[in-house]
Amino acid sequence: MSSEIRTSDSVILSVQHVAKSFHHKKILKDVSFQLSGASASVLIGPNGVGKTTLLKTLAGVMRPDSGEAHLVSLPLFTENFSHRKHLIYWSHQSLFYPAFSGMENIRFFLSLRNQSIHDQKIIEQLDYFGLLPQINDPVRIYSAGMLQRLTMIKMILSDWKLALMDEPTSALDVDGLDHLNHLMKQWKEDGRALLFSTHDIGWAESWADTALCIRNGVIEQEISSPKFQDMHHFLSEKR
Amino acid sequence: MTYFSKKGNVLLAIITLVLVLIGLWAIIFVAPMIPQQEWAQRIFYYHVPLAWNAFLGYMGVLVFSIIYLVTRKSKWDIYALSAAEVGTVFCLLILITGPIWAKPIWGKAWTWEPRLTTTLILFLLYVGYFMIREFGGPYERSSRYAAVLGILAAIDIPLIYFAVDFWAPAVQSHPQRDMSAHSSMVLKIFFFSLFTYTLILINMFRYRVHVGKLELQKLEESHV
Amino acid sequence: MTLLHLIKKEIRQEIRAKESIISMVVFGTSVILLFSFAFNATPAEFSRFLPGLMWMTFLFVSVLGLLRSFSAEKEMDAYAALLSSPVDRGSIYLGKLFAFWIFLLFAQLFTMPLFALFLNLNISAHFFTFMVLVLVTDWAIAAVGIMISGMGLRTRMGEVLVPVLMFPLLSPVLISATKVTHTIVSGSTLAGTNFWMMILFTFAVVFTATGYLTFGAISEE
Repeated sequence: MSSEIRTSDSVILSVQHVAKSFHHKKILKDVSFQLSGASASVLIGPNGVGKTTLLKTLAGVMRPDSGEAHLVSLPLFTENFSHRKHLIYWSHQSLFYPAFSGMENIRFFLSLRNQSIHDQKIIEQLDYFGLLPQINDPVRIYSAGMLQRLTMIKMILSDWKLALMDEPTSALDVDGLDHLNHLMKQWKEDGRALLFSTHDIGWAESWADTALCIRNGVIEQEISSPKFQDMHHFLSEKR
Repeated sequence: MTYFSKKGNVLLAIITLVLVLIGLWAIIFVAPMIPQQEWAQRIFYYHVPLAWNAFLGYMGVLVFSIIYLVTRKSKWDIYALSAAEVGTVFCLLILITGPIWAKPIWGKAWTWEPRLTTTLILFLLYVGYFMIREFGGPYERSSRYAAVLGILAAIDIPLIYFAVDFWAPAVQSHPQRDMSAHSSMVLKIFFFSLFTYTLILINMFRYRVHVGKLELQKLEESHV
Repeated sequence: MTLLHLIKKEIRQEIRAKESIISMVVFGTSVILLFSFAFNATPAEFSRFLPGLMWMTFLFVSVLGLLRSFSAEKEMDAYAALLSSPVDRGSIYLGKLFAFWIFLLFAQLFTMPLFALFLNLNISAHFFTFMVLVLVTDWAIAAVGIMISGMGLRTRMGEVLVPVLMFPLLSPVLISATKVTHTIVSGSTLAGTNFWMMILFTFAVVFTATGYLTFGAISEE
């Protein structure tokens, strides 16, 4: 009994019956799942199955046709935006203003979250990730790997409870991947919830506590502590 | 299933047709001549109901668009699109019948008469509305944009009208305004015509909604 | 507070990229030059058409600026980060609206004197009224323009759709602004302009409110 209360307490995101169509084609038909704190979940599924759509919908970039979701008991998909201070979105694209420097971008996005952080702290992070030489350059001239590092800095300095990460490992070199692995560990220890998609199921195996296997617009399978073979098996099934 | 496999739809269409024929007879043979205007005046038994229909159509767009934005149910989008299309057909007919009347009476086909001008601007607005439906991207997005535009257009109507009305005060006064001064037969036939045209609008709207639903059904089936 | 950050972001963006204002000023200048060549009329003849031509020019100029107003959001999809931030869509709209209003005023600061220099625009009789007119009219243009260009952002043929949708919507604004400018240029009494000013104010208020309420439906992907 008491353990049940604790589980419901630690639920960070709960999603019920989310559906979304494009051109009247139902990409997501009925997606329901829950995420608890201190856990990482991976979305796997073949291409075009709606992983990005689901992440964008939860991030607030899109609105679903129907369904409900709550982030720490605050409703998503309404005009109310207070839940969004608890989430952060990492997309395929780097989501920065190209004419601004890395410093300015970070400062701007933190200000939208009502967080005032001393510039010195941002500089420390830029230094740590080796971006200090480019501190005054517009991010337009950053390489893909540098942009990923800048995204990590944004994630580190922002307060959030849920991260929605779309292919975070793409365009990362070995060094960048080390940084990300380190952060994943730390975020889980902090008790935050992580939801990510990736094609690198080897990497997913090392971090995911749960695999949400999407096909035909629903979560067909939920595998806890998924192994490489489980995920590979699901992805190679032809249906 | 076609539109006419429903008995109610057949009945509605037949009643409308009969009433339109009666109306046509009344307008040609019963309606009294109005001095100075002669035959030209009779187009108003059509012209004014056309305007009424366009107005009803666009008010429909406003209402259905708001409901669509709130509920996001495709049904309301189909209603809004149908109302917009039907309204625009009547809008075009106003733009045609207006000059037909104006030519013999005022000597020139186009005058910047406020209501006609407002209609022209509205027509242009709705050309844009259909363009955004066409080029707005996936259905859900273009429907959403169209809904916003439908609301903007409806809000704009009174502003356009007031602006245009004051902009060209020199043009002749509105011919319909003194119609009530004429014999009661004129009014009777006019209201009869207004009623039949509203029925025509309802027929067209229902038919377009039917087609819209079929299109949606077909699209959804094509994805299965 | 958030609104202030959003406005500051837009203005800093413009200072960096200089896309909107420069294109607006250059385009406006060339149109004014073309007008003076094409009409080649005496000032007296020209004064009849000047108010209309001036507002037409600014309408075209604003389209050019509006087409750039979302380009920074698009390039690296910063818009997605903005939409997933704890900011309401209405504030995003108001931020863009206010910033574009400033840009348009700024562009007019450079082009308006050319109207006076080349085409004999004379507003000295009612300078203050003219200022109010420009402020309100620009706000009305921006209120509609930001909504439409927000749609154009995610639309094929956005460059075509923005003017096609914007001009008929703004027709009451063009008519009113032209009428008031006419009175100002002629130097006669302003008694007749109240009605037009009222239309402009109503338009600005009503469309700003509508934009604030509907920008959620416009901005989402």
